[in-house]
Amino acid sequence: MWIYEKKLEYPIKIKKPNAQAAKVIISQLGGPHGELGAATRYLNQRFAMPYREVIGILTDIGTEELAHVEMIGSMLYQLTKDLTPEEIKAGGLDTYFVDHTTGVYPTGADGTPFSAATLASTGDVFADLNEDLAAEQKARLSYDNILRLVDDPDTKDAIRFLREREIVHYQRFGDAIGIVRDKLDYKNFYAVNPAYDPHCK
Amino acid sequence: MNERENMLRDLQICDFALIETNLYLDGHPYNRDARNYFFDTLHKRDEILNEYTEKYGPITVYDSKSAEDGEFTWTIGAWPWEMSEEE
Repeated sequence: MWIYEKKLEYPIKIKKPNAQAAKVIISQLGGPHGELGAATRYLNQRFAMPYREVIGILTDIGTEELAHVEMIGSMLYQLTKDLTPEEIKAGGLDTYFVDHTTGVYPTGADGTPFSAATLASTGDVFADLNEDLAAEQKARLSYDNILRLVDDPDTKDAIRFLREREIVHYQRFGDAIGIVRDKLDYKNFYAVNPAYDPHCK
Repeated sequence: MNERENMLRDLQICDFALIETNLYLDGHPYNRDARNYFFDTLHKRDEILNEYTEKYGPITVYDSKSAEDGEFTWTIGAWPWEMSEEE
């Protein structure tokens, strides 16, 4: 169960619309390293997780990712507000505009629509947690690349905040792997799945 | 920033500290410093939230009231992504 709070996790106030910035930032909504994939990944992985502390980490990071989905949507809304068709063409957003106008649709920057094929929920504790560590690094590198491509200080400020959250989440998933290792039987040296294989606790 | 935005910023600051501490406590539930910090910040957050919702309207639907003309207050006012338009 979730409850909506009528505020953003971090304030977004972009005064200057910019089609080119929207064109690349949209990848962090619906792209392969985006926030929608992150929320979907963690919130669904919870059900196969045998350890309550780690379920807490998946729940709370997954919930924060939903707040990031909203932050990216807010940025796209402000970046595309009142853009003229000429500005949209000049920023390379015309191929998006033709089907979505300035509505928010989850897609990668290259036009590939959001797909669950970009994420995994394997039912295997170590496969999932290692996926999560990689996912946080991939999201961080996409934010690094966005910072190389946009100039506006209002936009960069919000992107920097999101980038820092990826770094913190990576640390917390590191905690999660540590917790799981501590709970394993010392004979399960090769980390076979404690969620399914009865002799591999 | 106007007065409402200032108070909202104070609430966002508290909430950010709570999110960060919550994630840490998930993996370190016996850390006393983190626990104390969490509850102190939560107390501060409650005070700001009460003042904010009293003055400016609901943050969650449960803070809603009947407006003077009888309108349910949840959908009154700007949504978060529209905030830059009200200055």
